[in-house]
Amino acid sequence: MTILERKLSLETRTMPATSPDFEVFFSQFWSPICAHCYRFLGDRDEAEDIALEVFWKLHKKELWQKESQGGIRSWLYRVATNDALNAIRSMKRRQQYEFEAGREHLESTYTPNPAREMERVEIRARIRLVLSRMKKKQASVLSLRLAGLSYREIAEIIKVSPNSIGTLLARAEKEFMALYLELEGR
Amino acid sequence: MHVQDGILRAYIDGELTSEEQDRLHNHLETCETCKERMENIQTTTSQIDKLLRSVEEDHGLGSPDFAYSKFESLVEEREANMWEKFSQRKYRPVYVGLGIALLFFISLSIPQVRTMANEFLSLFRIERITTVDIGLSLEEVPDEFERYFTTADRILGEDLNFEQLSGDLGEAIPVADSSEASAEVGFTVRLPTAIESEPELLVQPGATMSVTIDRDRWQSLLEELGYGDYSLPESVDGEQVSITATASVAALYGECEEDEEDQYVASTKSCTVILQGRSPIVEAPPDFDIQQLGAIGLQLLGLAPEDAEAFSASVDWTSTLVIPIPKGAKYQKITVDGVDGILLEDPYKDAKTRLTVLWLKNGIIYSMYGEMDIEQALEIVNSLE
Repeated sequence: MTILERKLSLETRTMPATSPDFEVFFSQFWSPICAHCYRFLGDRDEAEDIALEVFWKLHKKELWQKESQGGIRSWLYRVATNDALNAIRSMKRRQQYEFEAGREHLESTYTPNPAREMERVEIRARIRLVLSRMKKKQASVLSLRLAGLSYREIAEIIKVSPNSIGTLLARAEKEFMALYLELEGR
Repeated sequence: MHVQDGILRAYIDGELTSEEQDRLHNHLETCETCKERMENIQTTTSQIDKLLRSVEEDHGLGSPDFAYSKFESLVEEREANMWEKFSQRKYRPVYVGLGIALLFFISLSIPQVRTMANEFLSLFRIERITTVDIGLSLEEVPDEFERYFTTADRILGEDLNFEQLSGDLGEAIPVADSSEASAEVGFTVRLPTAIESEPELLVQPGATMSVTIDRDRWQSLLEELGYGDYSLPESVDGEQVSITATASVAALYGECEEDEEDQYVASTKSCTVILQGRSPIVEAPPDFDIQQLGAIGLQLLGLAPEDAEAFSASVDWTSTLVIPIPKGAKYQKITVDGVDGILLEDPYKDAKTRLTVLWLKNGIIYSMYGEMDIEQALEIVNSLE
């Protein structure tokens, strides 16, 4: 196939059905990637939806057939971070509403420890709001570090020099705390 | 001499080399200021860790097996979907695709104000090309677009109608020479005299994409993308919008084989491609607030609302192809072929520079890309005849 056909053609690209190899990648990376998305969203269903989209992209691009294990890992974290950040950013406007809704929901359902659960919901909403307000790069560094990735890996994912991760991270953490405390009303 | 915060932060994570780690350790023994700063940083770090952990303990995310079964049904559903396939051919080269995608987005969102059902549709044709610097960086562009397409696909996918004007869907037709190509496309195809070898000529048949608007669904798309403040009027419901690209020609010089790499990886083989085609035509109801829709489109590309509105107000959307320039991309305005054009440098370069030149002359949009320097590029495009 020529470049032109690739570029212009309306042709349907045939995709392989999910294969055993892909399934191996999936089971290996599903939990960490999903947990990574959860960190941003604080909601299980939303995190799973985003993680599914990430794996869909991996599958569609057929990257998993030609990239190294490390390359795939970096790719997955890059796309998951980006997608999760986009998701919380586009939800900004609705956030206050959801915040309230969450409270109402809690009041109307039974939980063994409502006070504790309420606090948890509020913390989650706050974390999400803070991450959505931070600069993308800062929010990325912070979350990737929390995911337990090394500086070298983080640098590769966000495409900066490994030497600058410490500085970025220190700044991101400072910013996070400042925004968080502001929201908490302190 | 005090140590930077970044170094202290890396020290906490044990990310310095063991020598640096030792040296800093010794320094902290003797320097109260640095020690205190390090402890402050450490406090912040552990506060955040603790905070995040406090809400993470019971998220109970689904098992990989269960998730995989969900994934399989998602793949099955999507592979059958046409728009998803259409969107895969995206953005090659990325800039042209971006421009078209933006235009496409705008054209799809166009129908604004009340129109009589039987009124004639207005017609747009591109007369000039301009650029706009957008907030997204090159790395972000493909994924952002993926998000828009995925969302749009989920919400609007079934409404879309995709029709090729002639021939089999997606098939580029090889032609023998430029006169045959000219006859196929209905304008005079021009080839460069600066390249001596014979090109492979392919005619890409025209296609029309049309959609009948389901107002409520479109509104939910805007909401999902974060633009719920903008309300589409009820009157657009049932209106039809279409975008038509007439047949175009590609001249391929050198070895233009498909490489199996990611779309951005430049082929190491020398391949130069010249594309030419009439500007696409957008048809939509006549009265609408195109400026506001343009501004929304630009915001989707990462522009601040005030910048998006200012730019949108300054451009005539009905006759201008706006090429969004991602952050970090290099481009310049140049004179080519006797008119103003745009030269973009492909940032995903290997050893050589990959250039794209884009210009519009007498209603025909031209683009050329290949691995070369600026002088070579100008020589080729200025030799078209």
